Parts: sequence; structure tokens; C-alpha cells
Amino acid sequence: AAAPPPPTARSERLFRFRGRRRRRRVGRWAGWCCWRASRTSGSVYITLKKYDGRTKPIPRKGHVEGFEPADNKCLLRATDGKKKISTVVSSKEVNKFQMAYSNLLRANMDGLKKKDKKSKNK
Amino acid sequence: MPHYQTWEEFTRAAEKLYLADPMKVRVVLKYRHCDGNLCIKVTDDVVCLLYRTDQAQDVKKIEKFHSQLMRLMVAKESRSAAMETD
Repeated sequence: AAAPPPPTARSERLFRFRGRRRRRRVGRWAGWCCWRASRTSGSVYITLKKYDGRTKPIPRKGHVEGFEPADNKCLLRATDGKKKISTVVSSKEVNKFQMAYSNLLRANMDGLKKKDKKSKNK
Repeated sequence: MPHYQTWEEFTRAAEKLYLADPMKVRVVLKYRHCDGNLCIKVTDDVVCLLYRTDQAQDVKKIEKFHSQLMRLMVAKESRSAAMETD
């Protein structure tokens, strides 16, 4: 019988999102380290969409009462095909989130071809 | 499902699609480290705009565009005026 695989960074530190409230501190979302586990195979998907704050599905007849659509939020999801995490970013947090988020993307999406002639500093 | 070859065309079409109906549009980024490519898709479930790249220089552009769209989404309607296009 094969020995169980050693615990990877992914299994140790992935956030447990299933069945819980989606909202997570934006800093933690941005520090998500699923990237490392997906380097040898597989894809990482990030989805962004505008979010109006609804927490209940729209009923087929009529409309949800007392629901005020919010205008200043967006929903971000990330998955590697197996685990999925998500967070809601509102206009108050967007600056802080974007700083961490851009750093995260640039640091991790580094496997692409670099141009030979031009020297890239970053 | 148009695949765009130039970044400028893609961003123009994507902005237009988003501004037409912000609630319907979603942006998907797909990164494959093993194959070394990055793909950005903007869709409203009717039209799907795609841009693929394997060049490191595009990462910054794509990430900036993604951030711009995020800011558009969280900005109040009255303030989301002109987007800065590179």
C-alpha cells in the first residue's frame, strides 16, 4: 500500500469556505496560497463580477421584499478546480484590497515568456 | 466568441460590453503555470470576448485592466465616468 502523500501547503492552509459565509477579510483572501500548489499542473481561475448584495435567490413570482440593491460591491472568486474561495469587496476596502491583490497576481503569474531583447526589471 | 489578437481591441470591446450592462458581465482570469499562459475572458453570457497570452509583459496589462474593472464595479453609478484607457 502506498504511503499517504505528505500534506501540501494547499491542504494545510486553504480556507474552508464550503457552507460558510462567503465573506472573508480581504487580506486573507489576497494571501491565499493555492497558487503554489497549482504550479506543476492545473489552472487557477479568478472570477470578478459586480455584486448588488443579494443574499436570497430571486423568487420566480414577484420580488424579494425589502431588498435594496447595493451599488458599490463586487464579488471575487478563485478556484483551482478543487477548492473555491470567494470574497466581497466594497468601495471602502477596494484600495487596500487592490494593493494586496496586484502584488499577489504579479508575484505568482511569473511563468510566462519574457521578451529577450527588452530587459524587464520586475 | 471572438479571440482578440491585440490588447487594445480587446479592452475597447470589453469596456463597451461592461458599460452596456454592468450587472450581467463577469470577468474570468485563467492562469496555467505549467503551460505558461494567461487568458482573460469578459462575457455577459451572450457575447464572450477572449484574450490569450503567453508573454510576461501582458501580465501587468491584464492585471491593471482587471483592477480598472473592479474599480468600475465598486464605484457609484454617477461617478463611473470615463475609464482611463492605456
